[in-house]
Amino acid sequence: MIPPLTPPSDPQGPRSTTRLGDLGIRRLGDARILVVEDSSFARKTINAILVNYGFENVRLAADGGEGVAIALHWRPEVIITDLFMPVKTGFDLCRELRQNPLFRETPIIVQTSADTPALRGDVFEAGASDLINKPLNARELYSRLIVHLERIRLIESLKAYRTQMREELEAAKAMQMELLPSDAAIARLEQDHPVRFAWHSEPCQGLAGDIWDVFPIGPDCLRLWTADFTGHGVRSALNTFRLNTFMRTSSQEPDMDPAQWLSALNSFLCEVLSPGHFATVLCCDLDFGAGALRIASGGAPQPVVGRSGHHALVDISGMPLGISRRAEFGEARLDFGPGDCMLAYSDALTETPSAEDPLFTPERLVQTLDGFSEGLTGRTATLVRHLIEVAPDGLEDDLTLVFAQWRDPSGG
Amino acid sequence: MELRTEQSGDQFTAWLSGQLKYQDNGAFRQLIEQINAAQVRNCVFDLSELSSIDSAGLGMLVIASDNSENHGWKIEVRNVRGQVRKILDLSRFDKIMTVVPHPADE
Repeated sequence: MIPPLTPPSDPQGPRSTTRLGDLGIRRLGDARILVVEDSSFARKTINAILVNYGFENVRLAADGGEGVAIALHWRPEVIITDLFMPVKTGFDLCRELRQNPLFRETPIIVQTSADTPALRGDVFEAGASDLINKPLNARELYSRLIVHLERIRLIESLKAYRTQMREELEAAKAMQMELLPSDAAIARLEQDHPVRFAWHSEPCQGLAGDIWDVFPIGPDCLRLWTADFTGHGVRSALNTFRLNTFMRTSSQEPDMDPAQWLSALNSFLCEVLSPGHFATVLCCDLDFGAGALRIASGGAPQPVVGRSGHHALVDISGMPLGISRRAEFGEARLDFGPGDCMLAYSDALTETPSAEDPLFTPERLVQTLDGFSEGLTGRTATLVRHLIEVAPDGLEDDLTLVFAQWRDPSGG
Repeated sequence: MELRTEQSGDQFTAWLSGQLKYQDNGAFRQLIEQINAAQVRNCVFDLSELSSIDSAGLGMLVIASDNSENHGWKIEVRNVRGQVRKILDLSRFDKIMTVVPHPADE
């Protein structure tokens, strides 16, 4: 008689030390277990042991051939097999199933009576997961079964979790990309104003803490802004959604200048961001009517302006947004004319591969831009390519680059 | 980040070296707790050996500044140089704390 170790209805019972339920592991009593054994007496004994421990989903096969056939269409979670059987041996069964990708991880427990080290080696080489000696000990069989079932169910649960996370992040990333200006919106601006854009946005971990936009604030004026929230990943990405919602729903005074606009944004971010979190933001008005660039900064990397192939950093600073309600913002005003361009970017451009020793210090960035002869799109691609060369394993921060150029009528 | 601290009377001094970044979050919060508990009037963060700071590091300085206001101590960031100085200048941290550049970083 088999001593009942656990309540027969719950094979997961008191033996289990982990809270498998918490990990999404359902009860083990419904596990599909295939027993392959040519001795009818042994087959019945194993079945009785399993039923006694509460397993409700057991199928029996009388030889290796039948075992493989049942396995292929029933997909057992665990297989308990004898070694020496007619039609196909336990070795054949292991080898055949292991060649099938569906059975690469299925636990196969082999029972053997001739227990020599050489035989054990052969059994494992054929693909078995575990060995159990004949005559079978009910408690040992049960314990080994539980170990394998828990392991396989944990792996399944982890795989399912990872797949779900990946799908959700992909969906969130797609939503986040929709926050950025669409190609159609940019084309419309390029049609209505004498301007051309080139840009690149690249999250370092699926979701980004960077966001930017450009929109008209008058018949001859565009407002371009970039923002970079502390950190990266989900938390800072959620903050980009907050910011986007604020932008689209708050009633903004139409004649706010960039510094006043940053102040309004700062009040909002001081309200919603937790301590220690903030955003660096650049706001730049491209005023084609007045021939001017007006720029305000909340701790953003210094933008670059270019005229006739010569580039310079704009000397503008300001406290990042969301730190202090008392923050005030200054404004830089620069002449801007046909052919002139500007570049706004996130600090990944000037802190890759590391903040201590970047490829592009702001000064080297300016020199590099001076040396460019290609158009806006080519410049963007070249900068990104150089960054990837020094950070082959991927950037450590989210990257945003936005070039805007006043189209030169003579240059097309 | 490597950290060395000293308390002398009313003054607490913390020497930060290496890089101040997100991974130092826990250690930095402990440091702030330590300063709050020390009940000093002044705290100097000496950054002469700090080679770089990222946005999370700036965030930690903001938290230090908030704590100094709430717990009644004054914060001074001393001997800032190189990339650290550039970032603090760009972010106008002189508006929320005393920032003293390194004499050799002029």
